[in-house]
Amino acid sequence: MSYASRNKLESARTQNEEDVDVVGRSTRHRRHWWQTKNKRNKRPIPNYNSMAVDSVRKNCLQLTKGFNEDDAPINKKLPKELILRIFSYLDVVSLCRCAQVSKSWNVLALDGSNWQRIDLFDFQKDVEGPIIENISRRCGGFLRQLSLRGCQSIADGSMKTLAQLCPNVEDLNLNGCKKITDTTCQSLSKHCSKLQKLNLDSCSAITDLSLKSLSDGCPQLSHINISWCSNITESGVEALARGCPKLKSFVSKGCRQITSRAVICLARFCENLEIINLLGCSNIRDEAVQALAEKCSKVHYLCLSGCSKLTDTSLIALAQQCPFLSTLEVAGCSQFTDAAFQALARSCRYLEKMDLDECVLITDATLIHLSMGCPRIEYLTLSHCELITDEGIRHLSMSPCAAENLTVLELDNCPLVTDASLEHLTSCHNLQRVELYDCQLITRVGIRRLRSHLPNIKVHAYFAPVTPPPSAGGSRQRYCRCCAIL
Amino acid sequence: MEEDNAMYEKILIDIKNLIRSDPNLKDFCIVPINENKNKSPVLYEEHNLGLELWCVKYVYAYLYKQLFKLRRLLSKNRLIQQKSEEIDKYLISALLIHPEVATFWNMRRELVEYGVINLDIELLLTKLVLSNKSKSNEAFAYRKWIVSKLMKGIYKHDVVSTLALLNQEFTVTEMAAQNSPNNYHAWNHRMWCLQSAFVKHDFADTPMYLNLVFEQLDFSIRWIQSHISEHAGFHYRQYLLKCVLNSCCSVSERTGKIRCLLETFAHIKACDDEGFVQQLLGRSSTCVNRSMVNFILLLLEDLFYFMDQLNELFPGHEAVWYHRRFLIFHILQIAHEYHNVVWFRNVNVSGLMLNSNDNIINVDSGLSDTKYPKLPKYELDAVESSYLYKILLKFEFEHIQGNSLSKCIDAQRELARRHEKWLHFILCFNKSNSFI
Repeated sequence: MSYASRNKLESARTQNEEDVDVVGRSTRHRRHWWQTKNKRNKRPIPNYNSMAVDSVRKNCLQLTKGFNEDDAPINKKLPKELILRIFSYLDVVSLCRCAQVSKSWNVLALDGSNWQRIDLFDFQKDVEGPIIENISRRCGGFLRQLSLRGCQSIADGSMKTLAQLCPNVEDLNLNGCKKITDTTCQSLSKHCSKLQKLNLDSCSAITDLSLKSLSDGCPQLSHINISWCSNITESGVEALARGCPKLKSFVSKGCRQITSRAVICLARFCENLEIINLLGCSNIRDEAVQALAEKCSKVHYLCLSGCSKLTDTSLIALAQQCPFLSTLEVAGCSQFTDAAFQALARSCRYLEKMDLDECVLITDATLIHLSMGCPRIEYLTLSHCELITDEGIRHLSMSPCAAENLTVLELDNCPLVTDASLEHLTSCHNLQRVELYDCQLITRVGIRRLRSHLPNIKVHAYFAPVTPPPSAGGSRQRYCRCCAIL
Repeated sequence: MEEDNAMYEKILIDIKNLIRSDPNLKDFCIVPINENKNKSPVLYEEHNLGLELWCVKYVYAYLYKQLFKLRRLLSKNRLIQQKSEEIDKYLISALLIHPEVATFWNMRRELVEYGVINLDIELLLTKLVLSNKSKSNEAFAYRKWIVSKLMKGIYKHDVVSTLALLNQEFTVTEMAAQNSPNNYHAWNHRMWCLQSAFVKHDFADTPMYLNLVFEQLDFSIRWIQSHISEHAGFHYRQYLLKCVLNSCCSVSERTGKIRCLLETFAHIKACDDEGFVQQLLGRSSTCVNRSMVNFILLLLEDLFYFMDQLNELFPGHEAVWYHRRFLIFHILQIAHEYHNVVWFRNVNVSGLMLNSNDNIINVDSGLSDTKYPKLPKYELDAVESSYLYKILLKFEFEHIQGNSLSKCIDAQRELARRHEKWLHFILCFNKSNSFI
């Protein structure tokens, strides 16, 4: 790798030469090289006439020749390849610092090979269009992974440049870049055929056109996230499913226009799906989940929260076809009953995380089945399951999962749960957090007893703290110092 | 500690979600419940929001600490999106609990400037704050800031949106004024909104303007009838009456009604408003402004009709008498303007001094008349020789006499006595002038 890049370096140096000075100056002011040029120009320009500037620059060049470049001991000892290799382990900030050391380091630090994976989340407010264009110009084909999460000022123009200059991008995160429209996806599909992961979370201007163009140009796509893009309908998803058969992960939270038909298409064409999140797609019906279960038997993560039209049929289909399910989130699916969970508990033995928030019909029977059938449960949410009683908790606490794996148990708004449940839970040695908000039969005494058995546990309930809160303005001395002395 | 923080966060999220999800929230208050039974302290019933007392001090201490930790970053706009939304959540509860902290309002202004929160939620939040603490100056100042921002977004010819916005402000200020008496800030806000709407659209010469003012006049009389001793309501009415002077429009169906009413009082008949005023005041030397006619008619309606009513219904209220003074003073002033003459009010200061020492004046016996030093005779000007002046004199002295009778309550008699003094010394009304 280093040899290959060395050739690139040699050629790159001549064209970067002029940037060096500018970059060095700018970074001194805690700006990174990818920041816009016009900001730099705002600095006051010294009042020399051009003749004087020229002579100063000449002197500087003569002076620095003696110290710079290859004469520095570290540069003598280490070949460029090694320095480059060392740089490849640094993060964005350290690289930018190294770029300020000398001209040769500047070239090495800003070499595209060090910038294969970039995450600009920490600089989201500063990242603007010209920065992205600079990055894409520098990195070119090296860029594999770019996260622009939360960079709201990014628009289509700069993304187009990026797609043109960096054809090898594999993983692109545009979470929350709200200005982005279908144009970006069209240029991505045109130039970046290697794209594997694309996150378009909260890019609300995205429509079906994007998905259609992606399905044309990015056949390698394996992960896609179109959460909260509310314009997306079944036709877009259908096109995507046809064009990208390698899809492993499909996340579409809050896309209300996605229907059963869209999900059936996904199931038919993308048999490798493992992660599916359909939170809040409230139009989905049983036939969609049945198709999913039938075709995609590798699914291990499934979120159907808020799909309130689903009934037991869905869960039973899942239980029969998807034995590897490890995470199941069905918050707000209020039609599920004990029978479905019984079937599920019998066949899905690898379940680790279950969110049963607001499955109001389930009773202690579900807990009994889960405790017998699923020994790996770590995380269990039973919020708003109002029929759960101490008896269910007792069975849960006696099960094999409770003793070893159970770490989080959410029981908020279960009005029948009493202190006796907490007594049972003392046998869950791994338990780290229990939510008990609004369980009005729980008392402070019960919580104290639980704490005495499991000292590291976090119990969340609406109880005022026993210790008074620290005074808001910081403690002030009651007497002045001289009074204290007296 | 960590567990407590989780609880506070949950409470704060609950409050924020409730405000976000229900745009029709009416009221926020801190419910005095000290009992603590593992029950959510956030109460929500019939569009009212409540927070139980026991958690307030803990939540506020937590908020305060968090907010001041993040404040510096916010003012430099170095916060990432997530953190900004967190601050939004903290600020909502902090301001609901304790709206007097100007720093919190300023942080909210910064969030608006950075585009993190939208303005509709802000209107709702200030409304809730005002429902709890109706006299919060900071909340009104912030609301003004928001309203002026919203007004900037309205196109110049789009009067309808402005009126909708005004109506919203009117309901809020009415609520605030209802909640706590003499709410100077609320009335001030109301006037400011009207004023800025006028300035924005500059529609003084359209009937819409007068309609708006008349609507508000109707509102104010309703308000005054139920809050008789609050001068704030009268002050608002006085502001509205003066607003009439800005418009040269005629709203004949409204002023015609007033004219009919006044004709019975003055025993004259006229075919239109201008003619009526001419009969009252005589022919003017200059051309008469329509706004003046409207103003005179409204003042006279107040004086002869509403004041009489109020006086009978609510004797002994000082504010009523003060409004009377305002009316008489402005009638005379506008009459002078009408005739284009300068109003010399030769206030008899020496007489005033003399009388203030003299604490027993029996109005009924007419003794006081003889005590006053005789004013030098001077020629009556155009106003003083007008029919209106005569009616005014007659009406006022009848009114004083009617309210100084022994069947009246003491307070009313005292007020009547003071009114007579004011008439005599400030306006130089003399009983001898009333020869009708």
